[in-house]
Amino acid sequence: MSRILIRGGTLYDPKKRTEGRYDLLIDKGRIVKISDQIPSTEAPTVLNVKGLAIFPGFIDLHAHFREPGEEHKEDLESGSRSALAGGFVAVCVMPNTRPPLSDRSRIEYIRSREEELRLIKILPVGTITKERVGKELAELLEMRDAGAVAFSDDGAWVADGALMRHALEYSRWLHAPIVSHAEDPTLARGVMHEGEVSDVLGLKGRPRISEDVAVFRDLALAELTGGYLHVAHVSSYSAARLIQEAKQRGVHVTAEVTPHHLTFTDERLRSFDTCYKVNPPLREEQDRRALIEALKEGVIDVVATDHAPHTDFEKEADFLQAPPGMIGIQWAFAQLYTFLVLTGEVDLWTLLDALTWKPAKILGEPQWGQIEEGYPAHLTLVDLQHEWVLEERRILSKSKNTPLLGEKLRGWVRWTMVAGKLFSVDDLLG
Amino acid sequence: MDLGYHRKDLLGLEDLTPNEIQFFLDTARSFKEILERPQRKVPTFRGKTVLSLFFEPSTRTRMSFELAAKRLSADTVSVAKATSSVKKGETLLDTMKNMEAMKVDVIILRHESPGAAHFLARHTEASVINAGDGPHEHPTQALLDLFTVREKLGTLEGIKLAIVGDILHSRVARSNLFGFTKMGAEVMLVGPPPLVPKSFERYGARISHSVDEALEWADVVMALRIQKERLGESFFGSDREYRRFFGITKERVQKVNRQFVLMHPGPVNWHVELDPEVVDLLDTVILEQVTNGVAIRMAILYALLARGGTSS
Repeated sequence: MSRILIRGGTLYDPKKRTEGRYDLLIDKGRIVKISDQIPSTEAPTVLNVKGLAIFPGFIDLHAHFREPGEEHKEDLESGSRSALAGGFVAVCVMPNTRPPLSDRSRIEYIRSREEELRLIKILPVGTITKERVGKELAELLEMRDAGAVAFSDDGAWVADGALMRHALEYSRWLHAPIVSHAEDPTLARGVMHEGEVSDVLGLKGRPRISEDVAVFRDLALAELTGGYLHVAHVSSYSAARLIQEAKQRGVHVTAEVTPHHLTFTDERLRSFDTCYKVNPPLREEQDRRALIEALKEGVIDVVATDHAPHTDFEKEADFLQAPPGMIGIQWAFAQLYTFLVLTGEVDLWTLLDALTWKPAKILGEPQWGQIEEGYPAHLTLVDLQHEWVLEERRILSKSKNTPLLGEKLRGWVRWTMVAGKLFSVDDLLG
Repeated sequence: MDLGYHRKDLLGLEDLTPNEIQFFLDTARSFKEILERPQRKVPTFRGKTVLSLFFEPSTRTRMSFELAAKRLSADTVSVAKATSSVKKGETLLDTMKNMEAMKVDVIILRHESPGAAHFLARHTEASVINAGDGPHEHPTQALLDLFTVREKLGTLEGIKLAIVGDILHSRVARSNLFGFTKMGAEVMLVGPPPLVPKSFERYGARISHSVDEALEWADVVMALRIQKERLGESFFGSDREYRRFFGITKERVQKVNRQFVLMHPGPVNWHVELDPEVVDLLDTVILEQVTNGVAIRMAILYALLARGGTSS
């Protein structure tokens, strides 16, 4: 791989909380030199990035790229290109595909597609149970050996307590988290958050308690086994509090929150726009505020997109029929920067922590998410001043299910570098 | 007649103004007079087409709408779920697009999903009338209930209405809560704790679990059907238990020994929410509601069809 000199940008290192104007020399996929001034003779290619912010490459622990089986919604290529345009260098792909990623060959398939595509790092998450039906433990060891980075039955909670217990017993030894979609299905039979809004709309609710009891059980099992639990898409203030208490007791748990749970509430459902139908559901303002606090205090470690593509013909249905989920990997940073950082609710460092070194740590990749000499060159270069409107023609995903169409956003990713390979977002958009 | 309603659709009462509701009630009064004449038909909307799209079973609402449209000389077409391509997997949007291509002016929709009428209204030029979207709203039923009470008691201002039964799954309860409170009435919602959402206090409702209390308090009592098809889980022990604790029974009515107006949107589960003997003891308007349904639906169709420019 060629040598590239990145000149004139402002470097942000969230882990060290330092910010400054530095040049970066990249060679053979790694950062070889960081200095105030590197002469242009050092590299055949010079990228002038004056005015741009240089962040460690973003990492998403939770996305649905739908391959294999539902390539009409998304595939690994369109998903990876969306990720690149959003500044993501590594993405965990969830195993609720058809068939589900629940054995070695399916994990190997994802890894082989990653190699063919040579876009981002595609990190497969294997299922906890065979075929993701919650009955028997899947071959976690085989899948870990084949390159699975975590295990999850995402979309469904592992309701069988003994199965979850055994998975957590393995997790510690495998150095891979067990990711829980914590919603008790016997309490979560509805299509939106249960509260004043669901009552008036006549839509059946998914109450906070359905999340809380599931989180409580999983935390108790993690405490019992010493296993490593990661709670996906926390959405209730009370679940965040349970996680906080568990962390204080020393339970090995991490947690994520999505951009939509940080920026929207159930009030949005009054429009009956099916793009707002997600699981777990958008809750109330007190939840949104508590999630922001939990993120700031480190109770919630990371932001993960839960990018969930569905085609128009699936989403343009009545509210009961429409499948849950929204896309967002391409503008996750801009969405959070516009609606949380620029409004003063969250500082930029907190947001960067949640997108860079913290998810890297959960993946056991200490050299990702930081900008250091000798580390792999995973970088995201952003124009923080640039204002743009989210239009359908700019969406690289095969699906367009986002409620943000027509919204004005600030923060535009210009370049994404994955292990020294540079991608121009303008080129991706064509 | 001056048009007091300028929206394309009628989707619910939650966001209507008292003036708009008033307009429908006043217009319906004129139409009711027409219905009492020997010649019950007016030539107002000859050549206009009204489509009823019913994805859930209905007898009186559907017939009431069809009769209302026919009295206004509009053509009516009717599609029910059981006989349509929906059975072949056609989506709501496809069904609607096809209907629209055959040129219809008004679509009357009943569907199991809250928001279905709102969804349809966004995707069609035709006017959409919500004839019930799951447990969400049933605005035409509430308008006819308002009309009936006003006719019976002379006013809506200060009237005490108790709605008794499965409030949680009832679109009639929601629309009536919005309609009656907007028109200055007081509303009490009564039923077993899991079936009465506490959050309706925010809309000005009183919440109670005592039918006796409601019968002592109300000027008008509206009994609701237990919607077995919507329950899906166990909300109370048995019909027998429900009747004993929440039913409007003969014993209960005799005990309170005062008059109130009894309503029911139909169909009734006799001996569950309501004893048949009660009907003889009280001032009931249950069939009056059905008659008024045609007049109020004529008023609604009138307002929506007149948008299209037909002169009366």
